[in-house]
Amino acid sequence: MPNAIEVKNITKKFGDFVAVDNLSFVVPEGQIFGFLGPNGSGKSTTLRMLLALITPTQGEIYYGDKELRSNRKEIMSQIGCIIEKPDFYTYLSAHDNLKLFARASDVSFTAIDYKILYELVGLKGRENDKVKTYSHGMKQRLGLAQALLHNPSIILLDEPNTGLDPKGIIELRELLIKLNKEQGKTILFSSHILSEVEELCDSLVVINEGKAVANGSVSDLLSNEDLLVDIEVENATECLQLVEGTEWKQFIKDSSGQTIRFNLAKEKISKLNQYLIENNISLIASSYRKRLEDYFLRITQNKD
Amino acid sequence: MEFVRILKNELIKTIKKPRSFIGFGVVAFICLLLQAAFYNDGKEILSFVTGQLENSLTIEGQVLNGNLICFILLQTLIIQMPLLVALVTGDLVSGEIANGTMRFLLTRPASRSKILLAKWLAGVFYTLLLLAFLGVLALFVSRAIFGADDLIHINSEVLTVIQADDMNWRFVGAFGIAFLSLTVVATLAHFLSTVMDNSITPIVSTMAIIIIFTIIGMFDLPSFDILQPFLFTTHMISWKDMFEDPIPKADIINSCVILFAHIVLLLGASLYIFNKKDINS
Repeated sequence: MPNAIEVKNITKKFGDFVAVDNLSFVVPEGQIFGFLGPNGSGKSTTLRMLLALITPTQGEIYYGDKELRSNRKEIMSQIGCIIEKPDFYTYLSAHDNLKLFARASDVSFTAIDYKILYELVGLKGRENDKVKTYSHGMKQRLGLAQALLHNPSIILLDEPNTGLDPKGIIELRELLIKLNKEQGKTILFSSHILSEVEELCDSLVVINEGKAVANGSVSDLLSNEDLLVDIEVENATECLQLVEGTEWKQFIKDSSGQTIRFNLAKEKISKLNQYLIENNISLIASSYRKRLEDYFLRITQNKD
Repeated sequence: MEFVRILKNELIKTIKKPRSFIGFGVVAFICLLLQAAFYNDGKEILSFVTGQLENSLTIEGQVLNGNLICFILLQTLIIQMPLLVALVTGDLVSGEIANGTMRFLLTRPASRSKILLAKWLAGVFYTLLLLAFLGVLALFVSRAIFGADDLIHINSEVLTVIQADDMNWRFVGAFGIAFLSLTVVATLAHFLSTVMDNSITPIVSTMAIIIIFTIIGMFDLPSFDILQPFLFTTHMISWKDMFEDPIPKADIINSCVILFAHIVLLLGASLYIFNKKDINS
């Protein structure tokens, strides 16, 4: 699969501070790619370098086989983005804002079906209101509209979930899947909602202190990760006495109230449930947490 | 075509931005206030001034007329106009950086140079509109109220009389030079707006530079004498030369060249800095 984006050894220094340190990764074409990192890890600086807003101190960025700096105009016509919070001209209506961005994107108005665009991002009926009357969630939706209005092949989204209500988050997820699966768009997105990233992304890179600490397909990265399994029982003391002295004892992480937390490989969950039921433990619920959260915390905090 | 589209964007933003109307409001208020004051008390003040001259010459006709009021208004407002111009042009780049909209603009295909030039041209267009508005109010409204007659004024301790039918082209020239002067102010504010990342500092800095240069220009000191000919503030009052008789053409050309050089240098520096600038906000 050809690369949509290739980041080659980029470094960005602000004075003596190294914000991004020799970072390299590739975003394969047609994938949804997660870009993760804790606050202050260099995520936003990297995204800004990907959009030529910041010049790398060293290194190169390629879109396809074209270098960003020397082919900026051509590349930018193929990119839609939301960087940080979506900011607009608040004294203009949403429609007037989009018209401005369409003009700046070299797209003629007749080529854009605004109604479909407003419907797609959930702003239909509010497009003529001034942006100053918009909530943050609505601005986020408008941000999405401006990112899509010139039909880009690559979409870069920085925290697109921020400010969206649960319905909005689900709609955004569905929209990203639709754009990726039906229109073949490559999507790079950063988010702090790791379950969302795990669910959506094919591949990801995790950066910490400006360096890549993990990079690859989600399934490969998480294949060796144990799950945090919460078993809720009617009588936790009885359950703890049962597992004492058995092989399950070593997997207990902690317990609180009626819940006992195990650290388990996925295939062992059903065996544990079966063992408890066979030994007459009344099971109320059994659930496991998405693995990416733990993986992320472990690699960004250098935990073993 | 791309540049025309970007320029259209910048003009729309400049015209629709609420702060753009402050300048027009201030100009209208000052013009109408002074016109009303002259309408009520002007004859009294002028009779006091002309009374001192009546021993040596005979004054006929309407001394307090639209041409004189326009001349006075130009002299008064040329002090305030730089602030009104900087209020809009000082915000053109830094305001968008501070508001975050610059991020979206610069992720479009258009080059940074084109975006910056479009912003500068929008600022120049605003300056032209503001000056044209002043021209209409100061000249045409004053003439409508006070009539048009010869302009009598004292310049460099010399009494100059300009015939009424010799006035129009002089006003066109005066407004042209004033436009060039204010374009320097607009370009300076635009330059500072490119350097700084908030919208207030470029406006304040522009005014501070004008004040400092004006003070340097006021004092007749040897160390300042070297600087004075090259300061744009020295040449901002060259529009007055249009009402000399004869007109000092060489001085006017020299002023225009220096003002134009300021525009070229400041715009060139803005382009260089903006193309290198990291957009971090």
